[in-house]
Amino acid sequence: MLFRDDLAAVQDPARRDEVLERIQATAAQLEEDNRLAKAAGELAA
Amino acid sequence: MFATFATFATGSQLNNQRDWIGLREFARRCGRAHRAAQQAIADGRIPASAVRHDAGGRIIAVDYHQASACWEQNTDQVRANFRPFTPAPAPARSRAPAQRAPVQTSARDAVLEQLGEVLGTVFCSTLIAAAAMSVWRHGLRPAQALDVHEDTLLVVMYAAADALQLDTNR
Repeated sequence: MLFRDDLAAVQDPARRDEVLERIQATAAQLEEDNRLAKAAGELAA
Repeated sequence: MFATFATFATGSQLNNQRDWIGLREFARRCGRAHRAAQQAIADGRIPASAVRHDAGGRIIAVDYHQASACWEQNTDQVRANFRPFTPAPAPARSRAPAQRAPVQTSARDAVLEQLGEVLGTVFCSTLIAAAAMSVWRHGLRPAQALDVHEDTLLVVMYAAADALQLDTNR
């Protein structure tokens, strides 16, 4: 059914914290990926 | 924001006669300025039933067909500097399903069913990724980032659903 499963977490106020945690975790992953990429670039240089 | 989405999704009358688009796109299609469209909504020349707002009162979507018809009907052509009201034609993708290649109904329904699920998945994946990017790069709190991106993505999602003639109430 349309938007059923994946939208459930976003649509349900009771699951808002879960969504915010996923956002925070993804942001932390981005930060880590960026740090590793910089380190790799410095090593290559 | 979540309550707004729930209302939008379950209480809307989205169907094949509706064409929900952003305010700027609506103004563009009508050949008018963005500000003129805002003013027409504020004046009531475009009825509230043709407009969706978020929890903060911002306009997030306009039903092109109803809003453009009412705006034309309620516009004083003298005040509009004699400029004729000539709504631009809707994009071919949303205006002419009859022009599409004939597809067997059952196969078409199955494809649309899958497209709907893909669309929902893309929406959530994009929302969380975009919010995470704002947290990382711009230092927003996760709740702030979620609010910032949700309205835009909702408009995109419903525009895509309308273009595909998906039933968003299912």
